[in-house]
Amino acid sequence: MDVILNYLQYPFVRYALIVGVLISLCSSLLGVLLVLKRYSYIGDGLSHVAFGAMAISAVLHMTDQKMFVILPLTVAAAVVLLKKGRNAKIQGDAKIAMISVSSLALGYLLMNRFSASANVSADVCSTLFGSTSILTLTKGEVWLCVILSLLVVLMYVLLYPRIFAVTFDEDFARASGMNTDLYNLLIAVITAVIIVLAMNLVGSLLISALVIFPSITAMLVCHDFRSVTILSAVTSVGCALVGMLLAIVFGTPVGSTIVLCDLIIFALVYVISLIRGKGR
Amino acid sequence: MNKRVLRVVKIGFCLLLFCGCGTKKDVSAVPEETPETVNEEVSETEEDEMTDLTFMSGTALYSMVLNMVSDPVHYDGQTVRVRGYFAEGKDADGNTVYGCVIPDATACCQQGFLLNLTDTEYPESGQWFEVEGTFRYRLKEFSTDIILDDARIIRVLTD
Repeated sequence: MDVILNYLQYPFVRYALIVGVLISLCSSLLGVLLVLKRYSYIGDGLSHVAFGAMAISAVLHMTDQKMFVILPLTVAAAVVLLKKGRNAKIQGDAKIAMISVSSLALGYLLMNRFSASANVSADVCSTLFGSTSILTLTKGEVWLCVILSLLVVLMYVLLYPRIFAVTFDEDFARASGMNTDLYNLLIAVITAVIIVLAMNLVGSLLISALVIFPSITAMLVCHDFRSVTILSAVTSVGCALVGMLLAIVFGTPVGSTIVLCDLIIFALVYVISLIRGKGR
Repeated sequence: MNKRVLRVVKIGFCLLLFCGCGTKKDVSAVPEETPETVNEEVSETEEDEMTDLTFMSGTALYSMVLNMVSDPVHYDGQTVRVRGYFAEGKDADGNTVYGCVIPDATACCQQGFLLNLTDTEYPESGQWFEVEGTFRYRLKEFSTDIILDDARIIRVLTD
């Protein structure tokens, strides 16, 4: 406990914990929607787009204003990926895969050839695996994360019934007069915002875990939308906090440690649910 | 509608509980626990103003040093004690320069300080050691040198 208190004297540790809690809360809310809409892997695709956009901002010497490049590009990609075209020539999963690998390749190529930084491997390592990004946030980035996270939570709470309707039965929602395209667009924007924020926490390759694990874990225990959402949020925030503290104290990479905590909780809940299932 | 607003207020309040404001004083706060040192010349006043990073894990230390290097103005003049490995090289003018290099936990990223050493005996390159000096920065045309001035080697680490 003394060791943790020692670390808490430093602002960068406090910033990391605040932002980590907010990001994990938002990603768990989003995760429930994406898993139910069968878009679990979209987080991965969008995070690669964000990585490509980050490389573009570095090439343009806009690393201090990188959010102005990353957010619009990621939102645009999210809209394209979540748009359901009945006559689309390329289907959803193929679209995700194509955009994902193209952005990753383009991003790495740009960083390698035109990077403004002397240490490309460090930049790539930190961006892809989130080794220390969350511990090196500036005050401005912390405020941006806080404001965007609060907006996401507010939107989720205020539009909960409509999001619920669009998620469970989009055709029925459309038939009952709801503007489903608008809400799908909103979900796409929220997804993009959270993915961009979550890159700081776990890196772009590990974002899917942050989105999927808490939701699936909650779905093993609860069976209604509200309970799943609440338990998912609790699991996600708990794992993020424990993971970050373990990483700081024991010197392990932050992103991987958080994901491992999520995995362990999922495995425990899965085994318990199996045992309980056999007992009945 | 009232219920919904109440729910929003409750969530907002809960989120605010996590927020806290840091002060500049916090940055230089000294962890009470300091490691055993060989050099006994450090006065108590110096100890009070020192930023001791020797208790930190690899991940936290690397992040702290990266923050110091990114925002050197904030730390200028502070006495810093840190562990890293010794490095020796040449600058653009061919002068020999010494450094303390701090890698991250996975050793894919590194940060460090140039050392303006008061000692005449140096460790071998790659040798881990503990050093203490005054944090200074020097703006150059395309970069910034981060220096531990009046640096003293506290001890060489064997493991």
